[in-house]
Amino acid sequence: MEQERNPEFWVEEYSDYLFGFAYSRLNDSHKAEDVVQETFLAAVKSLDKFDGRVPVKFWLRGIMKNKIVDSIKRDLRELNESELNSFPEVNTKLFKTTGIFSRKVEEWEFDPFQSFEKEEFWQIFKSCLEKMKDPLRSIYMMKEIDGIDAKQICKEFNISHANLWVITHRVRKSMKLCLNKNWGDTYK
Amino acid sequence: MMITCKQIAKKMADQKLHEVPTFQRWWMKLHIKMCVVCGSYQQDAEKFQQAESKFAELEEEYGSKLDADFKQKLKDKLRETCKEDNI
Repeated sequence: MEQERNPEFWVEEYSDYLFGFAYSRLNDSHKAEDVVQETFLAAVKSLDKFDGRVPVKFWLRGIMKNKIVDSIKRDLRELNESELNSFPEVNTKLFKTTGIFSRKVEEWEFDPFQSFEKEEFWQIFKSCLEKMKDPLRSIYMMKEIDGIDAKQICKEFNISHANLWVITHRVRKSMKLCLNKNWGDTYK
Repeated sequence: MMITCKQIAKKMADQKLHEVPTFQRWWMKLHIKMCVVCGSYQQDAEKFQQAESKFAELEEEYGSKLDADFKQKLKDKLRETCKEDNI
């Protein structure tokens, strides 16, 4: 328990994990390093709030998720924020009546469930994720992989729920094209 | 229990289907299996949801590693901060 409150022990034990986590969301090693540093510094300052009820690794990750949101928001300020609220897909009759964006979907050129059992598939999945366009990729990861509440994401990034759905839709569509191309050809 | 495509879409956006309580999941799956409008789209979404959950579990194994020099600098910085703040 004593070690769990030692910041140098955190660096030794958890910095690789936290860096990997931040890097896959920010796609930039310098930004990921900054976020890891900000996380440890914030954790030191709030060490008295750590009661040991969750493992320190996940406590640190919880702090870091907020730092990642801050980092993405900093980037978004440089972009035109309204771009995230002007997706044409939300104005279609199909979406308005059914909540979906198309009735037909692109075929999987491989068996997804069998592939999920293969270690190599996840390397391809990760590299496809890295190719997705920011900030859609980061927002998609927060929503679908980190499980951050949709309400919180919409509030943080000032986007509507419908536009958040479009983000997930667009990323999944591009992910399937990438997976079909890079995994489907070699494993059918 | 009648569920509309829009209600299914909202549930699928709020929660992963495999995490929905059993009874509700059963009705959702029935709709998705039978529906000619949203069935294909939501079956596809379900596959992605499974992939995303699995990736979240496995991610640690495939993560990038932090540079050793940066780690050392980080330790120095934390030591300094602890000293300044009497921690």
